[in-house]
Amino acid sequence: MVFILGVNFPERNLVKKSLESFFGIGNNASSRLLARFHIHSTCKVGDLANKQVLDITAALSEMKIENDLRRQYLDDIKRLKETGTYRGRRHALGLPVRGQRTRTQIKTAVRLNRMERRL
Amino acid sequence: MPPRLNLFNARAAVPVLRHPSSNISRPSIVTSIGINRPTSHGLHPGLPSSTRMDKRWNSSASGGDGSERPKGPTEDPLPHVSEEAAEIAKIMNKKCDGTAASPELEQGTPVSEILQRDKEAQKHMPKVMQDQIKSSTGTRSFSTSTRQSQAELHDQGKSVDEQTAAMVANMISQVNQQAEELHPGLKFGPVEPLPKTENFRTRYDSLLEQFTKLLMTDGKLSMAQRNMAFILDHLRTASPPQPNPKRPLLPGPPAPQLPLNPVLYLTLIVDSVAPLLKLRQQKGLVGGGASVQIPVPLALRQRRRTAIRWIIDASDKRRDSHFAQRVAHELVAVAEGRSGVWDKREQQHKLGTASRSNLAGNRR
Amino acid sequence: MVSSFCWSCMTRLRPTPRAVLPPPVAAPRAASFHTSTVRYALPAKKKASLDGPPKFREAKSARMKKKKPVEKSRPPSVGERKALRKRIVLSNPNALEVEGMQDLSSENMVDARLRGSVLGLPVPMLTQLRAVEAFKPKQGWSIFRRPGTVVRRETLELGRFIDGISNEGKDKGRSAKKIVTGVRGSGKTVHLLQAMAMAFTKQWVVFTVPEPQDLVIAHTSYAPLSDDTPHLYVQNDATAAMLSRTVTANEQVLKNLHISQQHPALKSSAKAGMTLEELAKLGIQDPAIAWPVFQALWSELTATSPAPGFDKGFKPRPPMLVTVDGLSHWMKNSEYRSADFDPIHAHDLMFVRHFLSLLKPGSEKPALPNGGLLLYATSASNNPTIYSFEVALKQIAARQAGLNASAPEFPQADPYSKADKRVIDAFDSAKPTIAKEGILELQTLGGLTRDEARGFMEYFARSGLLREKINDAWVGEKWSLAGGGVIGELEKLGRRLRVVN
Repeated sequence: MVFILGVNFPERNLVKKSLESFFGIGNNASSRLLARFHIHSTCKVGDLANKQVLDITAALSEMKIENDLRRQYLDDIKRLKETGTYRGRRHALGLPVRGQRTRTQIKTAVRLNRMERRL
Repeated sequence: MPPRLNLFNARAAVPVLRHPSSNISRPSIVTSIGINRPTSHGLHPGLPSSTRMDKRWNSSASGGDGSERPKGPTEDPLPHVSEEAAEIAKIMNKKCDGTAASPELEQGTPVSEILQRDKEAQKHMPKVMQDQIKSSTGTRSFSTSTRQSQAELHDQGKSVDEQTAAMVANMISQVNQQAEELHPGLKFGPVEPLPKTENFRTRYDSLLEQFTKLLMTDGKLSMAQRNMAFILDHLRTASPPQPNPKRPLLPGPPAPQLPLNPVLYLTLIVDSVAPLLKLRQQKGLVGGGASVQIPVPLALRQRRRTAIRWIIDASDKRRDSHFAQRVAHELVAVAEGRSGVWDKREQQHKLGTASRSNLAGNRR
Repeated sequence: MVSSFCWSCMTRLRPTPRAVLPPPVAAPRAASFHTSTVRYALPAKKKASLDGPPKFREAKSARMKKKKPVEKSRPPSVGERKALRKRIVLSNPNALEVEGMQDLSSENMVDARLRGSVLGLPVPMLTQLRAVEAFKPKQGWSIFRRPGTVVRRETLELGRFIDGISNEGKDKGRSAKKIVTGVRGSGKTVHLLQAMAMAFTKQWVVFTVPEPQDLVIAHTSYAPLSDDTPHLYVQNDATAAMLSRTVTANEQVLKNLHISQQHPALKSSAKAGMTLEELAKLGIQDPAIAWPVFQALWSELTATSPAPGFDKGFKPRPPMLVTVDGLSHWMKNSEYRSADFDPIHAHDLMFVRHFLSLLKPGSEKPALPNGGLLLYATSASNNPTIYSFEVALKQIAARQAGLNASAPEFPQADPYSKADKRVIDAFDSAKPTIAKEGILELQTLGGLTRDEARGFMEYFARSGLLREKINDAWVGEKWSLAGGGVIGELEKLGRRLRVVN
């Protein structure tokens, strides 16, 4: 088991997939992180050297991920609502925000957009 | 009024019952294991030579070309029933000197011969024939009876015959020589027709093709072919089977030689567990819409299909991760008599025997 | 007396009501012994089953049956499937032993009389050949009693060449560089295998790269070489793997050779008097220093004379064979990324760079000073199409034919095609200045001749796999079917199970 940013990952997992389990890190960000520390893309968590683990943790702690990112996300939506914009209203009404049709296919908006938005 | 029996059914069913029964009772007659073995073993004269493959199981039309072709050791020496009967009749009717007991039995007797014997009949014979007898010198330039002329030829002695035959042969050869001189391009004889497998559409053995197609899922033929290649390689490299005396394979080359010819090996395995019949649910034989099982004989291809289906189904219960490996192991298990497919076949045959009585109800 | 009964009335008598009569049963007519039970038995009730689609005029309940949970067998354990995929089986106990088959030895590898026959690989050598991964899983070794290869024209040339370098004579210390190409199935990999087998019989040192692709698909670790050269990368795990291959295969040779130089890169771990085997094992044990160890080993093996102070027990180094199978993977960007997320060109990997630099002629001493052979093969089955590599190969062929690079008919890359300059430069070697070093050559493997094809097919027949009369007509037919004797196709024809009836 290897700790990366306080999370415990089993050794057989891929480093790339493990990084992508953090909120705010996708394919692109994880690939770039790996390249930065010269880790090949099929590397397993167990194969990381100690220094590389520390490097990754340090790099991750500088990035805006997980709760910081969530908070920012919610703040942005809140700002839209408070300034009384159309987008803010759509968020509050549980409707699509970006001009999609509402006759069908708005499941995502119904699920996510509400007064008390959670992530 | 009693309901009419279905005549169509009855007619279909009776030969079904009657005809192949002799075959069913003697499964060793099978010539269908005449798998394609090469005729020419330049290097292995010990191996059995070829037998024909596509002889149908219950075809009563035997003979024909069958007598000319060389018999393999796997072929059963017993002739077909009808041949046997003819043979017996021949023996019974023969005298010791080898001539037929009654010529009428062997070949029809011309009317004129009968008339010669029978004075009474001569009086009532047609006028044309009476005229012929009166002018009995045989002045007619032609003969109406082929048989008589043959007899005449026979009587004339062989020496003349041989002379003329030699002369004719001589002439033919002369003409041929002349033709060869005239057409120097004809150096070689006519091209023989290609064997069946040289056509690219039929390049694989028929069983092999059938097995491959049955391995196929979702129309992925090349995947199936790859699996088939794996299976054949496994049969080729796995240790030769220890045959179970209770469940022997069909007669073929001895077990240690089988892996050298995996197609033959596969064919023997499949044909050994192929059932002779299937059970059909037939409605309307008994009243009230109830259905009964009646045994129906299967053709060679159908039998093989059933056997292959069984083998593949049985292989699904194996633990190997690889599909082709499962099937290959199951095949070896069949060859060694360990597989459940044998039980299936026995069960099927037992049911078939039991349900023969249902067929009896179909006869009027 | 007239009957009181009127006959017409008789006919008008009403028939018995149907209900009184026993119901007409469609029972078996021609019957068994007792019929009554059958006739009066109630017809068998049909079982109402819910399986299958509803039949005609048959209702089916809307209640669906629950699917039974499918019993799943456990997935195969880690590495099992890969092991199965990479498994190499070299013998088939069912196949017949071929009588009179000779083993490859230093005597018969130059014997021209053996051309067209199949030479077996000596059994003790198989572990060495397995160690350098000379066999590939898709090759048909598994159907014969024991592995063997056909002696073809190229094999004899190779044998003569290797024999000449090893023996005392004018050819001693020569080196040659060849790029082996050919159509698919023409025997390029087996040609490399034959070279390795011959090299092992002559006690050469053999370095192999059996899968060049593995070095560029980002499946092994990489790291920058040093801080001074941030654009160069070493692959320590791959290097350690190669060292272990080399040590296993060449153990006997390396054990008898000792260190003859200072190796400052290795600091204290390389001691004087160490054998080269021990030196190589340093890199296997600690992959972090695998690359410096490899460089040290290479400099030791290419040494012609000992450094001052190491004179004791210096033995002349044996010739070397270097093979690479599947060169074109090294001619493009690798899957690795630099720290700035730019793709790394394969030529920036030190491993690749080292082996490609051997193709260039050395300045003061040859690339292989003790003699030897570079055999780099292309592949035709798993092969990226790289335009500049194709041009480079054409240029090699032209140079080999004596064409000058400035000549107008010298093949040049299309200026609009964005050809990779580095690839073309890698093969752009001038004529070597040192006499014993050969020019970079292109060797194209074609089909077998008919006689060789006949020998090959006879080998199949003697192994009991082929049941045909092997005569000239038959062999000629197969030779043509195999695209002019392409050996891979011949093999397919040989193991194809023909039906003759």
